[in-house]
Amino acid sequence: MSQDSDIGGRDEDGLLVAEYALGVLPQAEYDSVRARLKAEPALRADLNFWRTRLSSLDSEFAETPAPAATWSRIEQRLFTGQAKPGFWNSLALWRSIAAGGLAVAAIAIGLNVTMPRQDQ
Amino acid sequence: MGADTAEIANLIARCALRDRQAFRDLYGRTSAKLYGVTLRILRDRSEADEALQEVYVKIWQRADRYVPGGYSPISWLVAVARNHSLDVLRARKPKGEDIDMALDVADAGPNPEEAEASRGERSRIDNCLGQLDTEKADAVRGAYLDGFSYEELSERHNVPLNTMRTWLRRSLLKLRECLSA
Repeated sequence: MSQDSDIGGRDEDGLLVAEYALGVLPQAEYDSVRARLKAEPALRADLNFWRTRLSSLDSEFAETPAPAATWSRIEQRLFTGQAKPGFWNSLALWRSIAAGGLAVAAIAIGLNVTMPRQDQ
Repeated sequence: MGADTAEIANLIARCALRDRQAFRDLYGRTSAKLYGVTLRILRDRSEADEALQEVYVKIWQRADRYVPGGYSPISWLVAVARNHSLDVLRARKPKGEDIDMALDVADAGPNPEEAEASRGERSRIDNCLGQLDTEKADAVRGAYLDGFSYEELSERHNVPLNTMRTWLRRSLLKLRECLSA
């Protein structure tokens, strides 16, 4: 920020990371810091510093029992939703293989019946 | 590492090995804490519930990324919940705050075991925040715990946006100095 004339260079980077860790950056700056973090280990060290220190405040998040239905929704999203299409897909696969096999057999029988015998 | 901490770290490690029973246990042990995070930041029960589901989906999918020894395991889980809630906030259009919900959540404090467990680290950050003006320390806490943006902070503290940002940045510099000492 230009109004902070007493803050520059390394401090400026460190502050951007602190603001990133705190979660106050506007979207565009947030995206730019996020991209820089991937490329710059020094910034990642700063981020680690802030995340670790700020996490001491985590005890202020009050425990609140989650709604009763939440767990089954999570299970559904992760496991049931995945397993079902897999099952149906494989059933469809086997059905098509079976249908394909029947078709081949039908054609073979059909050809056998309609084609004149060559061995007269 | 406390017994609790070790147990949660172990459950996360087993989730990385696709152990569903461990995932169920982890949910039982930590969902109230993480719901506390999504609810405090999102201030809307149905959004907080939806966010909580997504948070546990992420935890299951990324359990292998937890590195023991760095972050405490519960802090890692809180960070997943907090970051996800902030993403939801960023994507959300500005909307009026639900005052009742804010009070409802703000009044509840940490439980005694939690308070005991983190007293050492807590006293350090509390001490450093205590060296800032009350209003500035409140701004730092509001940003971290409530997910307030610069816009919201400037409205709450009744100062222009740029002033708010200058305040907070100077506070962060002081805080870093104190926390590094």
